[in-house]
Amino acid sequence: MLISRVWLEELLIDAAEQGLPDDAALSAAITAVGLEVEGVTRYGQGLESIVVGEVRSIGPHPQADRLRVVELFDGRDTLAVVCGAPNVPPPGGKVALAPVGTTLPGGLTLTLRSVRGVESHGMICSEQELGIGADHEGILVLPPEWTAGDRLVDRVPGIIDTVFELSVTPNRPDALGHVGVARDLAVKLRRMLVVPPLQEPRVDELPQLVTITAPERCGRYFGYAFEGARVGPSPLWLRVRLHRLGLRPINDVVDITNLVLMEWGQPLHAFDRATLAERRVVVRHAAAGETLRTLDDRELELRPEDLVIADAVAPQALAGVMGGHGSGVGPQTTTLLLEAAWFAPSPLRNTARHHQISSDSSHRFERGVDHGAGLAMAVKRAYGLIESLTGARCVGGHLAEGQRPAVPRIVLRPARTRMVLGMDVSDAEAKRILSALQIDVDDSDPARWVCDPPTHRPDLVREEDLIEEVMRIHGLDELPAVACMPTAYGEASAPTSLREPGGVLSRAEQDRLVDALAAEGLHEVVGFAFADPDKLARVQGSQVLSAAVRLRNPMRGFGGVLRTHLLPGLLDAAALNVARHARSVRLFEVGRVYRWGERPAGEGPTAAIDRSLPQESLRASVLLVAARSSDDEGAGPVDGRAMGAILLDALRHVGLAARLAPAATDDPELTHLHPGVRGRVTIEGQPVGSFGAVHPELLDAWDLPQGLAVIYGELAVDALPAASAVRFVALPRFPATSRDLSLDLSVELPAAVVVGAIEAAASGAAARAEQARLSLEDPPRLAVGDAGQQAVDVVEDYRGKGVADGRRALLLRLGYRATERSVTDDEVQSLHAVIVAEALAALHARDPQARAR
Amino acid sequence: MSDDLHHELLALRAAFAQEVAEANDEDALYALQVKYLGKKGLVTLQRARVGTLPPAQRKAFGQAFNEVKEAIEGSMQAQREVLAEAARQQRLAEREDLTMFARRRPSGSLHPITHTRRRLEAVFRQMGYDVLDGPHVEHEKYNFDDLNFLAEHPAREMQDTFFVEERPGSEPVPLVLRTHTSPVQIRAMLTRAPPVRVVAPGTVFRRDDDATHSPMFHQIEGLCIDRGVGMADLKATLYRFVRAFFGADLQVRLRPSFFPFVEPGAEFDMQCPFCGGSGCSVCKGSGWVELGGSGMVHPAVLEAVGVDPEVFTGWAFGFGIDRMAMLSHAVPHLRLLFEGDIRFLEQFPC
Repeated sequence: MLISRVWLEELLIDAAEQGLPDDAALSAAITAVGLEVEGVTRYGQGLESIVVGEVRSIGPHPQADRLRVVELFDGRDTLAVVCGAPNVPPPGGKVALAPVGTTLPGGLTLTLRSVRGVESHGMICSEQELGIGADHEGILVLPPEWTAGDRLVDRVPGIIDTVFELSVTPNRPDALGHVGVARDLAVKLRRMLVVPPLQEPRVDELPQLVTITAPERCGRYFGYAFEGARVGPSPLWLRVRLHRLGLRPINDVVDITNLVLMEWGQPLHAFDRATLAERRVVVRHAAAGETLRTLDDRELELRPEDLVIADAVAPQALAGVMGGHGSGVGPQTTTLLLEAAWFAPSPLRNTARHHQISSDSSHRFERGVDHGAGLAMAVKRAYGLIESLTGARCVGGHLAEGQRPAVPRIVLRPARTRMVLGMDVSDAEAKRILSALQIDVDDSDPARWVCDPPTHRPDLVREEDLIEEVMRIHGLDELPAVACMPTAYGEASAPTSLREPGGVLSRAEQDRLVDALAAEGLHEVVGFAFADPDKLARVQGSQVLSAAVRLRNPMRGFGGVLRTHLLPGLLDAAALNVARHARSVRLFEVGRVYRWGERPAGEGPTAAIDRSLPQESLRASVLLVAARSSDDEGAGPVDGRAMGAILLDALRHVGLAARLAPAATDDPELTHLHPGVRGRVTIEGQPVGSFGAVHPELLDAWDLPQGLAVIYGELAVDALPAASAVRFVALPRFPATSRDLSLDLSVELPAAVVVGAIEAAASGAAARAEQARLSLEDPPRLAVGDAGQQAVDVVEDYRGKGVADGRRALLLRLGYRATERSVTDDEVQSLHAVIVAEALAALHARDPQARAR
Repeated sequence: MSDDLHHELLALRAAFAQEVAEANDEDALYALQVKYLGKKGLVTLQRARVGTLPPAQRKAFGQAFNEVKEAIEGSMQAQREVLAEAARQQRLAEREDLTMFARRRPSGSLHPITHTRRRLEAVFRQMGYDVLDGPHVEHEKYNFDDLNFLAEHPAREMQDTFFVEERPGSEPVPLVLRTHTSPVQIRAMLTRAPPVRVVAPGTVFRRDDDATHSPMFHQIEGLCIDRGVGMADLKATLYRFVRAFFGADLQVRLRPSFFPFVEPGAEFDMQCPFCGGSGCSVCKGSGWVELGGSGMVHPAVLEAVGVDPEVFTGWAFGFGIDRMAMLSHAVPHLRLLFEGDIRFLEQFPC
């Protein structure tokens, strides 16, 4: 909403006649009452020197056919000015003269100069050159009765002005007009609000003029019929006023409705009454199949829920939203029907949204305009202007009544006001504020004031609304900072989502996982939750889209579904990095993925809503990108094993002992990974993550060179079990013994399976029998040795000379120890032999040729 | 005492003296020790000869033997120390340039939003607030209706909303990407009895994309519901927060404004942390920086979650984490936060 300082000055007077405070202070005052000023623009600087010039003579230019030499009287002297405009009025006419020395709003400073041999003592200006209008076809012609030598700024208020751009919140329709803003300022600045001249219509009753058949949608409709209008351009002051507020002057009738709109915030509409069938209007629902051609030439298909202003036959306007093309006021118009009405906000908004029209009128009606005194005053203002400016005569009118909204009666407790505000606002001050805001206050019960808000404030419906009014005007500058705070330490233990109680990593544990990944030398990214469905389909297969969560109104460039996987976003980031620089890229993200899954079965107050929501699961994903065989800034080569280490280490950091397990080449969940370079992460045998080389086809899809190692790893954070507290294990007091074992195995048999077979054999029946046969109370057992990391360490994976194609020699080191003594070579050897034989027997199911070397 | 024996002893001593001077490492010294003082060493063997001497000479021989043996042992020890000293000097003469090629593990980083969110959480936890979050896809009831955004009211357009299709095959359900963290207020009040003190940091979404807006961003919401809580308490909390977060005594001011779920409502500003309020380019000379919205929880919101507004009052506030991160770290462009360039990310080490 644009607000003119000059206009405010006309509406506010003060006894001391000091005028309004300067622009900065006025801006601060407007903001302080809750109407935030977002911009301040000053207009008309330098136009003080423009004077009314009287044309004395017009002569040809000796050197140029299209220029003329105009002699002008500026009140003291007669000056010669060269002018090229076609519309210089004949002698006696008045024009705007910019004398030498003037700086025009466009920045041009006029000097005495020769125009093709003739000296020009200034310039005759157009509206556009003066910055007071858009017309640049010709010069501005002033009324002939003006006196030569008068300053233009004295004749036309608002040429020099300051315009404030207000951000008016949707609860304040009253502030969408100058009177409303002035009303608040009058209270804040202790001035008096003076409304512009109003003319009481005294006309014959014409009951047939307006009929309301949808009374629930139209609370009041004033209709006035005028005849004898001479429609033409508005006077200069009106054109300047509208131009300053960004409106284009059209003709005097339309301009008057716009002036009242900007003054009272009340939208009006003027019909050319002659175009109306039976010269009357009906406020009714549209009939099915009816259409309307709007002023801006769109053909609307109307719905029964749309309210229209129709004549006796067809819709002529979409009520409160936009007028019709056929019934508008133009230069030929001589008869008018002026409309001033109140329409119900919500359905009007529905209509405006459905037809995708947002007009100054709908903007106000959908917020709720005044249906009481303000509406009546706007009518009177427009009535007077139409009669005085267009020469039209009112021949009759009618006020049709529908259902007006009830005005609530509100009880305000001054004590509660002070409690809520935390400020000691006196009863007298509170009452002054409320009364000045035209709220009717009955304080006969000093503890419970009965208040009736005015009809221009539909936002005032309950006690807190009035408390806010007191606060707005009283101000918050003296609000003390008084705390009633506990100092107890708050919890960060709530789950990520209130609807998933239990089982989910707490925020604190999540933070530790994030820290652990960062400690692995990875950079955290925050990616968009939106995703391009094509990219998701490439990564997960197109069937994933059937469970994807779709946006009804996505933004161009941000994807139409919510992400079901973190890899596409990380690949986007990787591609961006690869395109920008040559360094290796180590990224991670801990974020949500979204899909329609099982409905949560929870109980509790939010369960019913939660069942309608998609699953939001938390994932931790890592992407490494580096030139193949590079030593990544000292971190060793970038390959799948590096990723396995990152995931295991990060989990250890949050207290979880995980293991790596093989992944099937045709695992449908892992289509994003190279079929032969992939693995899973398990905890207690349950899969919690996966990792491997990104599928070569995805590298192509993201334009990543195949020469890069691109490795992805992912943990399902929601699937991670809770970590238990660390339990101390007694330090070994006696030395261990180790046995090396070299196995001849198929390269297809994963080391994790081999180690698993040995561990299973070590706790199997045969091993237990052998331990019993050794008949020791403290028999040797497979255990972490003195040097190794695990009970079974993989020492070497050898392929090549001496090993057949498709086979490998896997060198393992097994540790053996007893608890309370040193073990002997003999007993370890006999147990080792049993374990190896058992393990090989188990491995033969997958590799019949497995043998010890 | 036999002169021969005596001479042999002296000859041994002389021979040792010559050899020990040439022994210039620990191994050579050890070989000498074995050669002279070992079980079958030259000196040790001399000792056995005492038995061949007449008793009268034995004492003198014994004295002479001990003298020689001690002398040999002494010079052995002396030589050992010479060698040790030389070795020490040699160690100390080593020179290495440690200023180049520090072998560092690759350093990781936390996103500036994470850094900022954690610092915010820590400040509010210190003040006794629990930390909560909720779903990103939210029902309009929690995102709008219960927060007093009435249907078909222009207030709903204050936030450009992403609307979400319901589950395929399901009856129509009005779902949105949450436009603010305020639905967590509703969830918190539905699941907890007053007094409630929570902050809810999280990801939110609005259909907006320009130099200062991203369609996805982050907010933190604060909520306090208790008996007798008023605007002064809100201001005190904001003031304490600003002081703890920026570590400076910066003032907070409230300005009346409108948000559907608070009444009275106010925007809150803080004194500019860069100039302390004297005016600079960050605050465009005003001395104040806009942070966010706040106000007393609207009684209609309390009623929607079954809290009696006659018994309890409360306040809420919310502001942007991204903007706070950009302010804290002087990040010039919002775009940098979400594109994932490691040269940006690595500037925020963990």
